[in-house]
Amino acid sequence: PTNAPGSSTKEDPASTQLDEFGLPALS
Amino acid sequence: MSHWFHRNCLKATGPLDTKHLTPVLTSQKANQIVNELKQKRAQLVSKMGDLLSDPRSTPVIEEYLPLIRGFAQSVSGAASPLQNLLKFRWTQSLGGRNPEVQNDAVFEIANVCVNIGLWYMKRAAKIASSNNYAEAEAKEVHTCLRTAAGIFEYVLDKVSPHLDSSKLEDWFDITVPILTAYKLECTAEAQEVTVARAIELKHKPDLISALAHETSKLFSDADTALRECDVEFVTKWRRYLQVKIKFYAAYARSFQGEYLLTLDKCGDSIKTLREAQKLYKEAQGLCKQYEHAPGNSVGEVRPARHPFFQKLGPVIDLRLSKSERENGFIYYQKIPEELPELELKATFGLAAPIPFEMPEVHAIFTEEAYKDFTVQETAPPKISGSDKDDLPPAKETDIGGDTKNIDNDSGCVIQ
Repeated sequence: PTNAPGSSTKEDPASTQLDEFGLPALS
Repeated sequence: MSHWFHRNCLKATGPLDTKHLTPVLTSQKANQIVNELKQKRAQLVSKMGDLLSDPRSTPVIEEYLPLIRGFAQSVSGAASPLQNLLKFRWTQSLGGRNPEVQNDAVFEIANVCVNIGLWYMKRAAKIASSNNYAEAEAKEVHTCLRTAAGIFEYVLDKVSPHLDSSKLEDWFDITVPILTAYKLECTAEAQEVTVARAIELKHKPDLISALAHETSKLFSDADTALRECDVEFVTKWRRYLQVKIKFYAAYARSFQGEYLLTLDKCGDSIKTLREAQKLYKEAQGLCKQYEHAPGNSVGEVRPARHPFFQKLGPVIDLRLSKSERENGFIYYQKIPEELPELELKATFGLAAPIPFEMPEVHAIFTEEAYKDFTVQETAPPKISGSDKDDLPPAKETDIGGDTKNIDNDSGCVIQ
């Protein structure tokens, strides 16, 4: 399966909301 | 039954012998301090290894550490006059029932802290081996492992420099290589939780690839820390770390292959997926070596039988055949000689140790209280041959683990 839109390593972590595991929160 | 995390043994210790202190204790207060220390230590030792208990809600840890700290350090921060008053006996997590014995409260602090770290590691393994858990349990495993990493980091940075390393074998728990390996292993295993979660939540393949690559590197650093240690004691542990190095390298390549295909770099995708296949086979070979390696461990660990491991091989094969098929029909790209570079730094999901905060010296240790011990007139207790007699193994809850019915994308129940 392909991955749903959510995150990329290219995103800016400072402006990304993260979950408790440090992963970008999926909408 | 094949749980995922290799675990070394809990350390065993003997009861505290305080009989020789009778002439040293000149007041009721001094007696009270020693009795309290002995009692809290016994309570703590009996709790360690109970994996159904949460160390964070075990008050005796917070009660014992300030007391023993007063034997190592005075309130002013200087060395405590009581530092060499008591003998402490501890076995090693890597094997043997024959204890190391020292009359040094700093030695005791290092060993107690290591055992609390091992307790957190084992609790994480126990929770992770359950088939009926979800996000809350995944967070608990993640937190336990980061907490354990912080404890090992504390002993490594703050306690081990004050120990006499000439008395320690290179495979003893409170040496730099072993503490470093434990700290890195716990950090890497916490990141494993994040990798599994990222897969289940279907994060982008480049994110998962970078995170898996970082995880492989952490396991590699842990393995490197052990390479000079006595092979008799570290071989099994190293094989486990080596399985994880190859396994997460295969994961990194597998998701990189998927990512490159989304960028229409089909030749690169095929190259990296072939590498993933090779790494996965190497991981399988190491799993066999791990099972037969000499060394000490607790419980039945069969990484190759775990669904998280088993599901990766077919996924790599599927992705490779898809890339090869699309290259034959659409792209017609040449397969490069060189492997595409992996993402060097994951931006998200990296785990870090939770710093351990040692409780302050107990308020009972006033300057007056220290004067109630006539330590100047008493030689430190001698270490006799019988002090080194074998100790019974520490009691530990079975970690267990039933993973045969897991059916999801990663094969890991963490989500």
